[in-house]
Formats: sequence, C-alpha cells, structure tokens
Amino acid sequence: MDILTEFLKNTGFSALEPGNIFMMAIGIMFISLAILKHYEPLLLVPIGFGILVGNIPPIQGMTLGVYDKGGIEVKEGQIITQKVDRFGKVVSGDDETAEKESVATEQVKYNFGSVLSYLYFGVSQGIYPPLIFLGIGAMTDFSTMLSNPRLVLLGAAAQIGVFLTLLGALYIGFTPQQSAAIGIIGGADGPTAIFLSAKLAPELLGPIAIAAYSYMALVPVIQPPIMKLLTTRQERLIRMKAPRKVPKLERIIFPIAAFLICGLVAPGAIVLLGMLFFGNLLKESMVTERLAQTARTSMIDIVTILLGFCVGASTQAQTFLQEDSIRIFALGALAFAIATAGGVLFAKFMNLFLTDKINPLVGAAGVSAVPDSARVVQMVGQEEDPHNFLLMHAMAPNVAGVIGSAIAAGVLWSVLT
Amino acid sequence: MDKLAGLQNIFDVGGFAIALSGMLIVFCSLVLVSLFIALLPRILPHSAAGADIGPLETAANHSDNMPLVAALGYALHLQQRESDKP
Repeated sequence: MDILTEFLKNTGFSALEPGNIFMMAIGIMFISLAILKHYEPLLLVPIGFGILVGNIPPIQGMTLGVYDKGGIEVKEGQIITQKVDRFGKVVSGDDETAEKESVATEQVKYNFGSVLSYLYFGVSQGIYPPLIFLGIGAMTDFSTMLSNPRLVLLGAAAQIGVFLTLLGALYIGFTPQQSAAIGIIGGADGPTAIFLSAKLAPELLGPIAIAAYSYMALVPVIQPPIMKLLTTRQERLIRMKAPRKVPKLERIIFPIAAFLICGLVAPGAIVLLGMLFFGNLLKESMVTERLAQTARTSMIDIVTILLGFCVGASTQAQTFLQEDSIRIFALGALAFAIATAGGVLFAKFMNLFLTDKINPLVGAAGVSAVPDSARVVQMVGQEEDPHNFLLMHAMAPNVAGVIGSAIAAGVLWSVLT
Repeated sequence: MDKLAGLQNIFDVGGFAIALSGMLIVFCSLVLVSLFIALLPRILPHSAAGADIGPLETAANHSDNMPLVAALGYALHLQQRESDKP
C-alpha cells in the first residue's frame, strides 16, 4: 500500500496546479489553431506541444524541465567535492578497494542539467535566432526592394512601434532593459524578439516569445482593421508600377554593401544582420548553392523545431502566469498596432511628395512578419480591386522591416547592456 | 518590474533619448541602404548591370528546374499554337 501511495505521489496528477491546466489548454489551442486554421503551423505546433511538455509537473529530485540547469554544487559558500573512480563513477569514502588501488580521485561535484535545459541553452544564449536569420537570408529575394528603394523607408517607419512601446513599458514601470525587450515585439520578428530578450531581460523570455509568435500568427486578424481605418477606398485602389528586373550583379553586391552600411552604423546588429546577409549571399552568389539549400531547408527547419519547442517548454505556469505576462501581451498588441499604423501613415506622408503614388496598404508590410504581412496587404488590396497585385510591392517593405527590426534590436542591445 | 511608474520613470532613465536616437539610427541605416540601392544601377557599368554575368548564367543552367521549365515552355507553345488556329 505504501508503495502505491509513493507511486501516486510521483505522478503528475499530485502536483498538477490549475495554472498548469490553463497553460495546457493554451497549448492545445495553439495546436488546434495551427491544424484547423493553418495559423503559422510551423511555429504554433512546436510551441503548443512544448507548452504541454513544460507544464507536466516534474518529480521532485529529478532534473526534467528547461530551468533545471546543471552546475558546480556549492554549499554555504564552499564548493563541494567528491571522489570518483577512473570511470567517473562516484565512490563512497569507505570504498577500500578503490582507495587501495589509488584509482579514486577528488574532483568538484558537478550536477548535470536536464536534457531540455541543454536544448534551451540555444534560446537563453541567443544562439538559435541568428541561425534562423541565416536561413531567412538564404530564402529571401531582395529583388523587389532593389527595384524600388523608396519602399525601404516603410520598413524603417514601422519600427516606430518598437520605440513607442518601449516608452509605454517604461511608463508602466518596467526597467529599461525589460522595456526594450517588450518593445521589440513590435518588430513582429520572433527570432529578433527572443534574441534581444535573452540578452536584456531573460526573466521575461517566455512571455515575450509567446506574445511575439502569437501576434505573428494573428497578423491576418490584427492588421486589416487598422489598414482599412487609416486609408480611403481611393488610396486602397492605387496601382503601382511593376518592379524592374534586377540584374544578378546588383543582387550579389547588395548583401555585402548593405551589411557594411548597417554594421558600421549599428554594430550591435552584426550578429543578426551578418547571418541574414551572409545567407543571402550564399543564395545570390550561385556558387554555394548547396550551402544555401541547406540553410533555407534542413537547417532552418531543425532550428525552428528546437526554438519553438523550447520556448513552449519554458512556459511553466509557475513562472509564466504572472501579472507581468498580461502586461507584456497588452503592450505587444499595442506595439503591433502602432507598427502597422506607422507604416501605413508614412506611406501616405510619402505620397504627398511623390508623383508615382504608393498604395498605403503596402506600408503595413513594414512590420516584417515575412511573408504574412505582405500576404495580408495583397488580400486587403484585392478586396477593393481583384486585379491589383500588391504582393511583390509589399515584399519590399517586408524584408526592409526585417533589417529594420534587427537594427533596432542591435541599437537597444548596445545602448542598454 | 519597478514600483516607480509614470512619466518620471521615462525621464529618469532617459527613455525619450533612447527612443529618439534608436529611431534615428534605424532610419539613417535604412536611408543609406535605400540611397545605395538607388545609386547602384548608376554606379555599375551599364553592360554589367544590364545583363547577368557569364559563369553564374552557366551555373543557373544546371538547375534542377530545367525539365520543369522545358515542360512549361512546351505547354505554352501548344496553347499558343491552338489559339493561333483560325
């Protein structure tokens, strides 16, 4: 009977809290949204399942969760040592055989962390996001941006969401580092948000990552009302000139030159932008096709799986369900809305000076979230005019937004470290 | 989260300066990139800018998509021939 009681104590049911059940419901909701509604399935399925894994209550004394890190054992300021045999197996002090054979050596006691904590290391140290940027670079075609350089400015304008949200977060009492990490949600770029949060506010990494990816998945829901509210029907009907064909040489020179410009202006962004432009050079140079192919397929897929799963597993109810998380979600939504509005309004502002008018809807794609926000622009534009094809034009501010949010992250990191 | 909140918190940490300078740096970087892109076709020799460079073109010809391109070309040709019939 005692054995049965002990066994029941060790099941997840005994330690399950209402918060864990709530988080599991969110995990199942993410998976359902991905499968039934096709909202960002490549992200929401790993994150959703990670949430389920992270919210199974651990057995006491076992290292299972992402926060169960290893390390040297210290007790009352003293580093604990232990005797081990030549195979690394711990031997007790009264093991005479080992002592006699002089095979027992004294060494610092090191506790190994959980498997999940080692996988999570790539998130907590900001290793995965630059690798994802490498893959994004290898799959991004900058031609539309190169054919219409004016649209780059829309990617810059949308970053206003990052900086206004930073002020909002400061206003409600977050520290500058936390505020910057929250503000970058407005960049609508999950890897960038994770990277900056890991560097500046690791304690908020879970809520920020979940908020960033949730809002990225909800781009088709959040953006259209703001776009319609800020534009007239006439503006939404504007047709733009077809982009010119960009010669190969321009596409090869661009990643090198753009990296040098951005890296020298904002050195804090070299990790993300270096990988982005390096990936793009692999693609455009045409002499490293194998590397580009690996970067944009297998590698980005593996890193996405690990990143999504680990981020999900880091949302244990005990650490995730805090008042701050609700504030972060509210500020994240605000950041997204401001970024969308910033892009649209700046396109309208540019139209005051341009003879070839820009369709202001295209400005909404400046929030990055590649390629979803560009697709939303196409969708909203075609509601007014089914023969107006804005997708190619929207890709320009879309990729400029990726560069802009990486620069914003780099600037904030360097200023607030 | 700090207990101190409100505008004073923004002023204390120089929030407006961080936000303004950050936005300025993002804008400057992308304006420079935009200017460079705009100037690139003028900087490059016309012949180089106007055409794909040789070895790369050769590499592209070995693409795995060539059978697909050939099939599409043939289909378009057939369609064109059908539409040209009186």
